[in-house]
Order: sequence, then C-alpha cells, then structure tokens
Amino acid sequence: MKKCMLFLLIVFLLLPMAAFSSGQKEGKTVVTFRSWSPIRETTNKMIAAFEANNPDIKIKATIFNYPEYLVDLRTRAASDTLPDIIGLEPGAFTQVYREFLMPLRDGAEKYWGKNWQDKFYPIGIDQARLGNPAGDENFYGLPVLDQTINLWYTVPLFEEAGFEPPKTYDELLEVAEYFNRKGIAPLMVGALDGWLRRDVYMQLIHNIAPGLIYKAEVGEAKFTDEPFVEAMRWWKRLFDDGIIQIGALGLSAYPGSMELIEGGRAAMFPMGAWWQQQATRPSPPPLSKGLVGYAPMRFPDVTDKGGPPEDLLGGIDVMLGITKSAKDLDGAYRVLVDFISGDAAQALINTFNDLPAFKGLNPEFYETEHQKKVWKIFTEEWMPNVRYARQLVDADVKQAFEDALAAVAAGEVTPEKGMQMVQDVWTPLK
Amino acid sequence: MVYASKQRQVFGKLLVCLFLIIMVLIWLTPVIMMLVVSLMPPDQRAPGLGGLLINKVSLFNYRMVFNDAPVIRYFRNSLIITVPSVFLVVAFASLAAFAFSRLNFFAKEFWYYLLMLTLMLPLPTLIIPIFQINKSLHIYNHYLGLILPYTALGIPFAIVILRSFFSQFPKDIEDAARLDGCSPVGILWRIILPVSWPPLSVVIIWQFMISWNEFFLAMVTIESNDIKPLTLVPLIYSGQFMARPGAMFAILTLITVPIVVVYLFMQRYFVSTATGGALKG
Amino acid sequence: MASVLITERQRVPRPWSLKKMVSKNLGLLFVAPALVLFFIFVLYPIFYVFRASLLDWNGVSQGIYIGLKNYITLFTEDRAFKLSLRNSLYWIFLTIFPQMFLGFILAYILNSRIIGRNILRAIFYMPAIISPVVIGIVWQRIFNPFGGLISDIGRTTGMNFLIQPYLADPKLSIFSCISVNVWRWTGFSMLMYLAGLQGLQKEVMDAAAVDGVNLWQRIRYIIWPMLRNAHLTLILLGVIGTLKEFALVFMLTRGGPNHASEMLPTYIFLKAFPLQSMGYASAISVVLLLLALGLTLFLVVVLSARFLFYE
Repeated sequence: MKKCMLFLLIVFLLLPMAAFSSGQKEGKTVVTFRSWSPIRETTNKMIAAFEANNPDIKIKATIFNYPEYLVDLRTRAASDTLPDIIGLEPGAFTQVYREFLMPLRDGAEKYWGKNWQDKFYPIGIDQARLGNPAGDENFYGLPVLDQTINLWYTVPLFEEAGFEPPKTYDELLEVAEYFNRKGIAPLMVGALDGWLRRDVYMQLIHNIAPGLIYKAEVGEAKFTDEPFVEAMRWWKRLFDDGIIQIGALGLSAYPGSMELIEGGRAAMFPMGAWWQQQATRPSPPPLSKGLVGYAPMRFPDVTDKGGPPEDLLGGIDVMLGITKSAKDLDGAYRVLVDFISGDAAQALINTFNDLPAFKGLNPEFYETEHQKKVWKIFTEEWMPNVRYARQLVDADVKQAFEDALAAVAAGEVTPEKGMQMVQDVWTPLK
Repeated sequence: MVYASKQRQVFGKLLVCLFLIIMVLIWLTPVIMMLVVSLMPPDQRAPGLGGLLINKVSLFNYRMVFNDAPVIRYFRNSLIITVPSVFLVVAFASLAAFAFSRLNFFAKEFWYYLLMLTLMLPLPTLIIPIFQINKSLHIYNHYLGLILPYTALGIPFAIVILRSFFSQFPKDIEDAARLDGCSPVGILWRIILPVSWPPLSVVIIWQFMISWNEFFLAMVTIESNDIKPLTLVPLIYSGQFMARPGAMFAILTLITVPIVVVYLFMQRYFVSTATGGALKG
Repeated sequence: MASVLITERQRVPRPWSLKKMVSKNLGLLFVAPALVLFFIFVLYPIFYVFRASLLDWNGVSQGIYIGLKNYITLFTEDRAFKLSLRNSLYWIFLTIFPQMFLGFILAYILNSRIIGRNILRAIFYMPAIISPVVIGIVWQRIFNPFGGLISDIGRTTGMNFLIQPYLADPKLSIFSCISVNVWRWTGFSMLMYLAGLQGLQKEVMDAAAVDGVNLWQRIRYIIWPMLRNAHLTLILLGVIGTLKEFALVFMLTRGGPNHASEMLPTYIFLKAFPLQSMGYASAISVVLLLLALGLTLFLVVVLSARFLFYE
C-alpha cells in the first residue's frame, strides 16, 4: 500500500515534466487570436470555415468572459506575449493598446479596394477611430459586429394581456401595474452589471437630449446640466414606480436575469441586437426557440413627444486588431478579412451572434418567419439609423456613471448629486 | 431532584438536536441547490424557490457537458497540477515547520514572519508579476508555471499548521532519538511525521482545495487547451454554459466532487485520538 | 551527515568553529526550499507593486514617476477606498467572532460521541472547500428578491420581511456578503477547535467533570481559556484573510452597489483591470500589505498570538 502510494506520487511528480508541449507545427502558419467575443462555439465555427479554404493557416483561438479577458490582455501586454489578433472595444480600450497595434488602413485598401469604407455601416467606421489622437485618421481595429441597444418584450405575455408594447411612459406604467400584479417583472434589469445600468441610462438621455452626452465628454457641456439630471430622475422613477423589478442591483445580467427572462418572468428587458443569438444556443427553452417568444421594441418616450425617437444607440460590438508582434502579417490579414467579410463572417452571422459590421451579410437560414422579421428590423430599419454610440470614451467617466446609477437607484444620493459624481471625475481627454 | 436533572438533560439534548438540525439545513441548502439545478431538465428555466422546484430530474446537463468539453482531459490536467503541488507543500512545509519548531538557527523569527508575508498578498496583486516570472523561467504555458506558484503560496499556511503541531511534540522523545544517533531528518521522518496525520491531513485538504479551485493564474498562464485545468471549463465554455444554467451548475458540481472525495478520504485522519493519547502519555 | 554534526557539537564544544556555525544553522537548510520559492514568487511581486505604486501607469505603456501622489489621492479623496477600509473592519468583527463562536459550539458538540458526527463534520466543513465561484453563483440565487430562495420562502409563508434586496441595498450588501463568509468558514474554525480540544489533556477534562462544576462553568472557565492559542490563531488568520478577501465578494456583488461592499482586493482589481490604473492599484496593494503586516505585528506582539492551535 505504502509503496504503491509512493509510486503514484513519483509518477505524478514526473508527469508535469514530461508533458512539455512544444505545439504542433506541420509546416503550417499559426495565427493566434484572443477575445471575449464572439463566443467560443461561434469562433470555432468561424475557424472551421476559414481553415477549409486556407489549409496553410491554422488559427489558435482563446475566448474568455469579458472581465477575465481584460486581465489576460493586460498581463500579456505587460510581458510581451500578445497574440497576433485581439478583440477590441472602440474608445479607451483600443487607445490603451494602440502602441501595440498595426495601423490597418493600407491593408484594408489592399483587400477590399479603394472604397472599402463604404462597405461597412458608417457608425462602425466612425467609432473604430474613437479617441484617436488629433490628426491620426488611421484604423487600429476594424469592426466585425455592430449592435443596437433597445428593449425586448416577451410576446406571449403581451398577447395574453392584450397589450401593445408601450410607446410612452404612461403606457409603460399601465403595463407595469398589470404585470406586477401577476408576479412578472415589468422591466427585468440585471443591474448588478454596470454596463446594463448604463445602457438604460443612455437610452433615457438619448430620449431627452440626443447627442448631449458626447458633448459633455469633450467638455462642451457639463454632466451636471439639467437634461442629465432629468434622465437620472427618470432612472430613479423606473425603480420607484415598480417598473424595474425589486433587487435589480443584486442580479447579474448573465446568467441571473437571462434565466428569469427565458423562464417567462420578465415582460420587458433591456438587451441589444445580440439577444437574437439566444435562439441558436444549444437546446433553447420554448420562448427562445426560433426566437418566437421575443420581439425588439424601442425604449418608451419619457418626454412629451408622444413616441420614442426614430434613431437608436449602438455601434461596434467587437472589432479586431492585429498586433505588432504578429509573426506572419499576411496570414493575420487574411484571417482578419475573412472574419469580417468572408466565409468565417458568414458562419458568424449564421449564429445571429450580433449584427454584421460589413454590409450585405445575412443569415443563410431562419428557423421561423418571426426570426427573419426581427433580423430585417435590425439590419434594414434600425442599423442604418444608428447615429450615436452606446459606449463612452473615458473609462473613469464610465465607471463614475455606473456608480452614480447604482447610488441613485438605491436612494443613496439624489440625481443631482449623482451627476455631480460623474462631473467630478471628468478630465479633458488626453 | 433526580427527576428534575433528568428533565434538564433531556431538554439539553433536544436543544442540541434542534441547533444541529437548523445548522445542517442552512449549511446544506446551497449545496443541494447546486445539485438540483444541475439536474434541471433542458426546457425548464427559473424554477421556484431559487431553483429548487424542478419538474423532473434530468441528466441532460451532464451529458451536454461531457459531450461538449473533454472533461476527462481537463480533469487529468487538474490532477497533474494539484497533486505535485500538494506533495511539494507537504514536503517543504514539513521541513520548514520542523526547523521553526525544533531547531535553532540564525534569525529564525525573522524568516518565519517573512514567509508569513505570503498570506498578506491578495490575488489581483500577484497575477501580472507571477506571469512575468513564469515567462522568464520558461515555465509559461507549462504545468510547472502553476505548480510552483501554488506551492509557494501554499507553504506558509501549511507551516503554520504543522509548526503548531510539531511544537507540542514532547522534547524527551526527540532527545532520546537523538541520543540513539538519529539525524534531524530522521527524527522528522521516522518519529514526528508518522504521528502527524491530523495536521498533515488538514494541510493536504487545504492545499488540494487551493490548487484545485484556482483559476485566475491558470487562465493567464496556460495557453494551450491540452493542459488546461478543470476550473477553466466554465470560462472556456461560458458562452455555451452561461446560456444554460443547468449545464453551468453541472460543471460546477463536477469541479466540486473531487475535493469532497479527497476530504472524505482524509477526514478519518483529522483527529486521531490514538496517537494523541500516546503522545501525551 | 547531519547527525554526525549534531553529535560532534555535543561532544566537543568549540566556540568559533565553522562546523558549529553550520550545525547551529542547520535549520536554515530545512527552511531553504520554502524560502527559495518565497523569494521568487512572493518577494518579486512585492517589489513589483512597490515600484509600480510610484507611477502613473496604465499597466501597458511607459509609466510616469509621480512619487507618492497615488498614496495622497488614496488617503485624501478616495471614497471607495474609505468604504473598503470600513468594510474590512465590519468584516473582521462580524465574521471572525461569529465564526469562532459557532465553530467552537460545533466542535464541542461534535467532539462528543454523537451519532453521525463524521457526516456532520463533513457537512459543516464542506463550504470551506467549495470554489468561491460556485458559492457566489448559488448565493446570488438564494438572495435574489425576485424568485430567489429566501424571498420565495417569505412569499409562501407570509413572512414578507424576508423579501429584501439583500445584495442590492447598499446598507445590506456588505452584511449579506459577510453572512455568506461566516457560512463558508465556520467549518474551518470548527476543525481547528476540534484539533485544539483533542490536544487538551484528558485529565483536565475529567477532573473538571468530577469537581461538580456545571457544563457552562466547565466551558467558560476551563476549556475556553485553555484554547487561547487556537482563538488567537483564528483571529490572526481571520484578519489576514479578511484583508485579502476577493473571489467571494467579486462573485456576489462585484463590490457594489456603488462600492458599498467593496473590499480592498476587489477595489484593486477594479482599478488595475477595468479602469486601467495599474499604478494606483499597486498603491492600494501596498497599503493592504502594510496594514496586514501592522495588524499581524499588533496581534503577535501585544496579544502574543503565535499561529498555534495545539497547547
């Protein structure tokens, strides 16, 4: 017995030494890719599509959750081990890594032709350069997927109650009262996640004063100006009027709110175009199957305009950049281009992961007519109408917003004080 | 009088029972919840009571996890990382604890409290520097890149536990052994360690848990899928499993089971009255 | 070899010999492997954060030396930092003592010949070995006032006061985290006390039993004081553990809402990674390290805690 244990121990101690994996070569070029989006099973489909046409290149991809991806990328940048292609968010994120990234304009021209920019939705082209130093018009990342932010509603719940999706705050109140009585959350927000709090606020401020927040970002307006405070008051009202469910600040967006939404406990919820992918995830629940249970809607109007604004917020979901440490630049470009507009992109779009940044890509297969209708709404009606960004440029302002929204929602501070918190961290962009 | 004291005894026992029942309920509910949600059928979502009221028991989630992820391989990798780190911690910490409790040497207290600094560093602080060290030692993307840091981070606590046990060991037995020509290593190996199963089992469980559960360092250090440990599965497949809470909980259960097994196996050594008695006698 | 040295030392006491130096410091050789790993994997990170804490640095590009400015900002105008200090204080008092108290009671009960005591010990120790990731996700489901366990119990039994936004209310969130932490570590205290109780001389226990003192007196005046080392060690480990608590809070509340349940390590994480201020995060790490060091010294010097469980 004792000898046996000792033997096992020695085997275990030797195993790690023996298992030095030097990686498979086979004369292929290896292109490495790390990102948080698209999700892993989608990325694998994209890789399969790419490698089928490009037998000389092998892609090694690693996909994380967003917070872990941040840690991973930071660690790698600090130790000179960045992969060839990385996933990027426009704005502050990309700017931090700019010095490690290849400018992509010339390459894009080479692969897509002189008028390559016209082949993308304009919001993507604008946002890709967000935060570039003055005079630098180059691209350090190119968009793969775009998105909108909006609300969704659970169709069967509304049909059963005989409601139309609300267009004004009064209608919203009426709907909320009904659903609250039935034990269903009128607006299910996984507000533990700061980005979701911010998404709701962005839609409110866009409703009240379109475009103002981007002026405040560059110092042409103050975050303490009345419209911002007013949007904050509306945010607070959503809680006080029982529209957002109790305990929202303690519920994660994923998996927390998602599970309740798919369990039919939410009448409406704030998510973006990416919610379409629920239908293509393995063995979806009845509501998500063929997306039959859900339809997108605009955030109801809280002003007296009588209806929500025509345009929506949105922009780049994920863009890709090529790092300067890429060993085979041509190989990396081929991957990038195929991910954005080639067969891999088609595989990506087939999963409804989000909206394509490259015009003209559509899923090859729809499970239901409803799913097709939703896709058309996003790509044909809404996407061309996206003028303003969902994202903010400065990481500290973003965080201050998320903190202030939590504090106001919890009743810790007044809306005025909340916006003061944001203004306090604002500094002129470097 | 007798009657009254008997009544009080019964009452006391009832109180103890009640206390234990309440405690067990609170302590078990979250564990049961994990199990129940992992057995949730695929088309159900958000059952009542936080997930306890599932409408039937289904192994679908486990099948899905095993189909989609090479669980066995990840499991093996976890063992290859965990077992050596446990072994190294036990070996190095025993040596050190023995020295700290039974030997005298230069600046003993200083070294001891210096090592204790390890206990005071939170993980987010450590990730980047440790990664850089791994890279310069060429153990990045290698099992050793996890085994060695886990060992380094686990040793101080193990020393605390072991030293505390070693120092109650009667001096006369050690002296007798020394007079018989037994070396310090011999004393440690032949006399002290064989009766040290209570603290050793605590250390083994503890280190097994630490190495088995850690995922942040593993995430950045291990590049290739072939050598990733089990704890990374929820991260790697998050897109897939996050969409299915049942599958998420199935994989979480799978991660938990081995530690519980090790615990149950080691438990009988936790408190061994026989040796304790011999020592005291 | 080593034994020869020792025996020689005993026979020939020569004050200045090299051999004596070696044999006197033989212990150092025993400690060497632990120290080597320490120097590589712990001391370097300590130097790394000390250096980084003096920089204005996003962790990626070249940092700019700014002296103590990070520390000054930290202590003068950082509300989240103050909150995380306050929370650490709550955490220290509200986890360590309930944990010790419950752990001791459990240890005392489970030290007797009670049916199924091994199973009971396993049940109470289980939370200590489960990954905090699992614990976080599960407890979120228990706490959620919309469809979570506690609130659903409240709804079905009519005890509506149970429906609370446990993690969402800034006044409650830190205490919710703390109660999960007590749940998590009580089994560990129990185990340490069990070890301590086993170490108590049986005669003492027996003598106490014979003398006709009642149960309460026996525990209060004999057993509890004799476990002094175990108490102090649990406090010591508890204090250090509190200061570096990360995974549980991160999974439960991410430190929110609005930093209401922020702990130093979650704040370090937030600053270092999402907010891209590695220099500032390092300054917090240094403060944490110094704080832990200071409290440890206090406990060791003033209360003479010795990291001992057995008498």
